[in-house]
Amino acid sequence: MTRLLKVITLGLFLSILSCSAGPLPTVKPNSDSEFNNTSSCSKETCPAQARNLTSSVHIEIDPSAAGYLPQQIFNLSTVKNLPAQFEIKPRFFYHGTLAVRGSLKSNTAGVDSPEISDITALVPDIIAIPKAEDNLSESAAAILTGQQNNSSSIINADTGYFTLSLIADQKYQIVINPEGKNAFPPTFLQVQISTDHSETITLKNEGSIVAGRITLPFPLLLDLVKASSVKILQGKKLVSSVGRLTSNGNFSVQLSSPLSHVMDRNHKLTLVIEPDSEHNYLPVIREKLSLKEDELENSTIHLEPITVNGTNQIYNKSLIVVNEQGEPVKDIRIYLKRKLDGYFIEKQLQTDDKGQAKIKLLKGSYNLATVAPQDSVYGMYRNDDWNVESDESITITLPLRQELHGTLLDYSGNPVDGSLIQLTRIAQEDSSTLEGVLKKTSLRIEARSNHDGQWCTQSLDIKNDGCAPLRLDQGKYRLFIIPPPGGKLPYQTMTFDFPKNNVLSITLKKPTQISGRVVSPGSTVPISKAFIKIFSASLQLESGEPLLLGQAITDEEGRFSAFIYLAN
Amino acid sequence: MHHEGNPHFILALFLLISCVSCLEYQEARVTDFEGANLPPFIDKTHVQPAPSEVLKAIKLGNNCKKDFTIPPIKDPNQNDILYYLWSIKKPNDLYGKLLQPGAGTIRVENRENAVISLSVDRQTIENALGEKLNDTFFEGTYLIEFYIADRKYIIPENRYTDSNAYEDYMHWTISFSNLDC
Repeated sequence: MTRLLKVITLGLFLSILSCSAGPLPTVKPNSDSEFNNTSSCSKETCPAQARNLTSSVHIEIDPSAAGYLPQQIFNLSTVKNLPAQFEIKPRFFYHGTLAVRGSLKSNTAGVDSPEISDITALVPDIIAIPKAEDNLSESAAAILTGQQNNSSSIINADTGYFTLSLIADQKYQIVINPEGKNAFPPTFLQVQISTDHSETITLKNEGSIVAGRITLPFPLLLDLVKASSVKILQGKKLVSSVGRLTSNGNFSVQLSSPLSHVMDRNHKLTLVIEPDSEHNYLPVIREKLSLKEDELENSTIHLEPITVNGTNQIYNKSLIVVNEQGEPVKDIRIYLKRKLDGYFIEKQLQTDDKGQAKIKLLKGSYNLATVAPQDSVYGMYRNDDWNVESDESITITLPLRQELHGTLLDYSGNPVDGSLIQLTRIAQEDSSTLEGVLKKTSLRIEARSNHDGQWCTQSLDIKNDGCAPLRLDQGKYRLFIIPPPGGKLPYQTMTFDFPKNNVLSITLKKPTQISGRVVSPGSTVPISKAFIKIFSASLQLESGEPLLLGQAITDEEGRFSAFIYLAN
Repeated sequence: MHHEGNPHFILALFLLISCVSCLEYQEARVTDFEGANLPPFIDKTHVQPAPSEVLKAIKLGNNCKKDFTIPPIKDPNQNDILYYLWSIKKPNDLYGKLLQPGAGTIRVENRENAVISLSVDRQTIENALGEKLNDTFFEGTYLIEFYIADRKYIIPENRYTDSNAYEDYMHWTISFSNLDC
């Protein structure tokens, strides 16, 4: 019996030993060996570990599933040894109360402003826009402004109270009435909080008034220009009330106060007057305002009259779009643009089921271009000197688009299945006015690679395993490759000229692995399910968007790995 | 029966004890369900933006876009390739219009880390609806839908799959504005 007990004891001891070295790993937080584990790949196929980054990247972390605020951006240029640990910042509350000082009578012409008895009638909206930190690049600013994640608040109509949820120590610009509604300008505040904060904001009506007049030699059209909005921008930001032209061509808008909060020496103020109606023949007027700082202290700034010369001859034009067989083509966008005294008139039309579009146009020479939907076989038609001098209709015959044949391979030479291919036409550097129109209205064209790596159009007409090649208009294109989600292939981008290059074979580069861990503020508690986006800190797309290099999500231990291509 | 001195008995007992103790520590693990198909599952508590969030109108003017993101999909059938679709519809419509390039697949080997996202901008909506957006469009409320199935969509427009397919679904109720960003 004693011998039997010895055997049982020995068996238990050995079995515990063998099981403890078995399938249950002991995960140690902050363990480098855990982060650097690439044991599932061979030396040839393993992505390189990014232990010393030579190219700077920004990492955007969205931990909102754990109750924190999104858009937490970190710079990786200073991290020499990955994996890095990213400690996200807590959120605090900014409690504001709006108060009114003095009379808030509107100083904006052409718009009826409500009687100010209810603060929400004056201020329908308040937002907080995060600003890029000083150590981040312009790319970070693009990341912050690209998405619509601004914190916003509802205002209590009785008390004027509002609350905004902000990331600790993050710089914000709070904008009260950002759209300049009710003929009152936006108010800007700079805010950075590291604890809950309460403040009373007194709204003043002290901004300078900018007044001017448009003179037109064709008085018959004056009645139509009333449907034109007037505003002042700094870059893309509205810094005035939004007014309207009066029937005698006068305008006045009020600048934000204090303007020093928005003055950015890199961006001048621009007066923008644009027609709101298809039947308004006024061109879009954009005038840079060279106002000195002492002028901004004046109560009223009178601008020189703006003269727009032209003609009062208007023609009813009918444009008919057909294919080479003479059949009408519907859903074709027609873009028209002409220069008038240094300003541009721009019109957009779309053909109906009969391939027809109608418009009234001033006499003159226009740039004309047509763009078909992305899955259409029809190509672009353009005429840089289309003369409008009668009511005669014109017929436009569309050419066929040419085919682009593409193949996508991974860095081992194998075809990549299920990758998203995005193409965007970009304007040439020596762009004509028409190129400018096409850039602004350029269509994104999308395809997916199939099991042979061939690029197949996303057309809904292609069912099952059919693969139709992409069809493109002539031009320069930005190609953006987004590999299948969850894999270990990098995003990649390049430009090419079409149809000069109508057969492309792209081999994805060998990726660099970037690993990290996301933890809660002031602790090592992991944040799981945080979405990660990695952007280039130095490269931006032609559209101004940041260049996305890869995406990931954190696991239960807060860890993530992304596979990116870093162009040095 | 007397076994104490029997070496075969001792060896058998030793192996039995070893196995029992190992079984006690081994976590139960699902590998696959041979012959039994189970549905894929969207982790709805971790999608972005949260559907319960009262979203302000999504701006579709110049420079505007809004990302919708889905965390990795769970599916007990470990060998299932997953197929997803994005669509937009009015609340009372039976089927939505497909949002491109929303349709795609998630490979078995990528499932654990596959974050699915869709950037919605003006072109995405106009391509789906097949027309230029007008003032009437901006007055309505819409559903942006995400579907995931464990069999291929034979007719994606009405999400027709074979009879063995399972599907999970979620949506966001949203409105749009024509403002610039």
